[in-house]
Amino acid sequence: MNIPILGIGSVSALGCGVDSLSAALAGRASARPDSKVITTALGDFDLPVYEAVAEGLDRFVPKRALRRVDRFTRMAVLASFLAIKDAGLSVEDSQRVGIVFGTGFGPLCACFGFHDTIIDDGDGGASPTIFAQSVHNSLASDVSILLKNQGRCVTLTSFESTTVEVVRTAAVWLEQGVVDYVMIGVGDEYSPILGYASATLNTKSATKMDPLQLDHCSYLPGEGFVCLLLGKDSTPGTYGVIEQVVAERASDRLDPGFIQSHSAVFLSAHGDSRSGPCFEKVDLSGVKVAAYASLYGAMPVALGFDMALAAVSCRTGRIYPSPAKASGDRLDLFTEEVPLERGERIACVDCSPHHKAVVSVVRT
Amino acid sequence: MKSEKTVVTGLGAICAAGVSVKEIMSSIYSGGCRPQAPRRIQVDLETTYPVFEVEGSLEGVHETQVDQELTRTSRLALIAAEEALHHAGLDHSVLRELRVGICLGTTVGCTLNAETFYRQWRANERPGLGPVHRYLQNNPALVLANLLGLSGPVATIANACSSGSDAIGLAKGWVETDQCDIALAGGCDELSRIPYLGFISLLISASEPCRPFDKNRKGLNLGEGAGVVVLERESSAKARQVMELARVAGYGSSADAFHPTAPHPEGLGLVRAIGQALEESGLFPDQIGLINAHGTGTPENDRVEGRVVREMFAGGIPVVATKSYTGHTLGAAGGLEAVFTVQALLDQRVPATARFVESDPEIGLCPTQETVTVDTRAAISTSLAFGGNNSALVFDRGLS
Repeated sequence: MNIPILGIGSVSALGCGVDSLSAALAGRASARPDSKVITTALGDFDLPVYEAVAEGLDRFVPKRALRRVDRFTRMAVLASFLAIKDAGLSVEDSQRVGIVFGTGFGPLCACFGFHDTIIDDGDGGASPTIFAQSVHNSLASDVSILLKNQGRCVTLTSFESTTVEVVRTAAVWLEQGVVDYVMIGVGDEYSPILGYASATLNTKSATKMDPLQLDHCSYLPGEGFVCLLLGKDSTPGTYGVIEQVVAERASDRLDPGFIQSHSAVFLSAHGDSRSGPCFEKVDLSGVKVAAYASLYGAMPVALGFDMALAAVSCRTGRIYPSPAKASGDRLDLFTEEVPLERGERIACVDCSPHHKAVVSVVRT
Repeated sequence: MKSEKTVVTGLGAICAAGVSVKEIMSSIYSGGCRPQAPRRIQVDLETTYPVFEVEGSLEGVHETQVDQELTRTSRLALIAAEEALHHAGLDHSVLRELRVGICLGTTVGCTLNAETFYRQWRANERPGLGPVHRYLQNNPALVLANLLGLSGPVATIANACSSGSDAIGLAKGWVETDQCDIALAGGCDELSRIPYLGFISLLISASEPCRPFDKNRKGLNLGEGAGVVVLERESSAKARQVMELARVAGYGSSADAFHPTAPHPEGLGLVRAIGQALEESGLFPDQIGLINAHGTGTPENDRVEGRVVREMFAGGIPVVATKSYTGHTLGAAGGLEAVFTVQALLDQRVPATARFVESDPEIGLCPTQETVTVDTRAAISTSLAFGGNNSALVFDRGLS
């Protein structure tokens, strides 16, 4: 597998576009989580939330076309257009572009917005518009409509396992030759129910993310959407190539030396005490590590954002310091900027109680 | 890309028409199974919209030991998966030795529909997170992979009503690109109050038993169930000395890029999907001898789909809409209909489309009105979805 990354579109608490990711990696910008007061059975908590800043969509889509498009979908649409713009691509055959989107939780606001219409207006007052938006594939279909893309279009959803299967799907389609390009994208949105569950389950009084305190809860919800435009192996890529995708059961061990064949490891730990301890089972001896979730916030699709950050590192030829600190000396962290040479590889690693996934990105 | 063919070696299904493939096929060949007023869904509406509901709680129907709370969707999927695995001669010990992937389509199974919890939260009653935990533990593909001890790719497809077909198409790709040795694929969904009210709000639910392709059709009836197939390479089936039920000869999928809930008026996405599936199969339309249509019974779907089928295939090919026996099972539909299509090919019989009486002149298509015998090698199953996704699967028994 050698899949070039042609363009990146990102919408997150860091702002919009690949430059927002570059600036955050280089320490020139940071997200400002918005504090929400969440009332739980244990009392009221301040929960910082990494709310996405999705601005500038009207540069790509007439406002009229966005009348019934909800906020989460706007993130996905904007990320898609930004990825295409970043790639400088003009797609002539709209049937040869696939869309593979993934989401950990789906369109939660529309889901509960539909509940609201039933509760407020009765069983006969349910809103058909919001019902349509509450279907998981509404984002991908809206993007296909707005991009006029008639290729394959699929949405995957399996919490933390989502991103790696999104990449695998794109790889399979490209290998089968049924598409020339694939727009992959993953994201999630914040909803008050997610805040309530996060405050009740995880964070309690955490005010900042410490993703490398692996057994510690510091899940501060993030939201956003990140798209990577992928091409066939013959297409020159700006951001390196995806060389390998590995997904194992949580109980399985990765091949000895596999992780060590990489120059850097980006851990997609995101402050979730359920998945955090699973990272401790990965052999990280002899490799340097970074975790960036505190830049963009906690999401089950964190691996997708880390893949985008790895791609940025491939473009700039730099690995950036890990904003997350580790306790003790078990992890060898990137504490300063170091070069990433051509041919060197970054392993983006995600773990959960269900799975262990690695996406290898190589600087070309 | 040339690769070894993917074959179906196991079938499993559960729906209102029965709790096994044999029971379901017997029921639909004899024209049985009608929708009824919902029993597990309580609504406050003046009109009753009938559904195809599976009887019973389903607890204890499956063999796999379960030490967690399963949703009804997970139970449906597990029952169908177990039947398919038995059919394919795969027991737990074999599963653990091979790279077995699982790809399941769903809509309800991946959605946090927790109405009581949400009402309590809105009323500031600070509810417990039981429903959230249940949701987190019941992603269909993840929960089955865990229960069955599978070690291959795990994907839950949320492509609305084409989810099941797309899951089979994607799993076919896994097998052909050596992502796994064997794949379980299909779809699963339980009846739920939320989509029940959603489809009523869209004005596409019928207050009477659905009548796909009939001139006087009024809309769809929701249903629930699961349909799962076992896929593997031909060489794997031969090595295991199991029967190849059919080849998954072709898969096509194309977006309309037209409207969030309505199909393209000329069905252009469906035409492309069928065309891709036929091209991949190497078969011509006149070599297809059985069409299992999406056939929901809604005015719009059947008009668009019926016209496409009429124009792409020669007259006289039996077309059946098995949703007239199962209801629209949403994420399960493509899986169930793939199972029925393969079994119909094996039986060389096509069931009647229940309650079809009068042809719609706007469509010009008459689906089967009685169970008919066929002599054919290949069949096609189509799916259309919210968001404008269209998918088609071609199954081929081969010349022998």
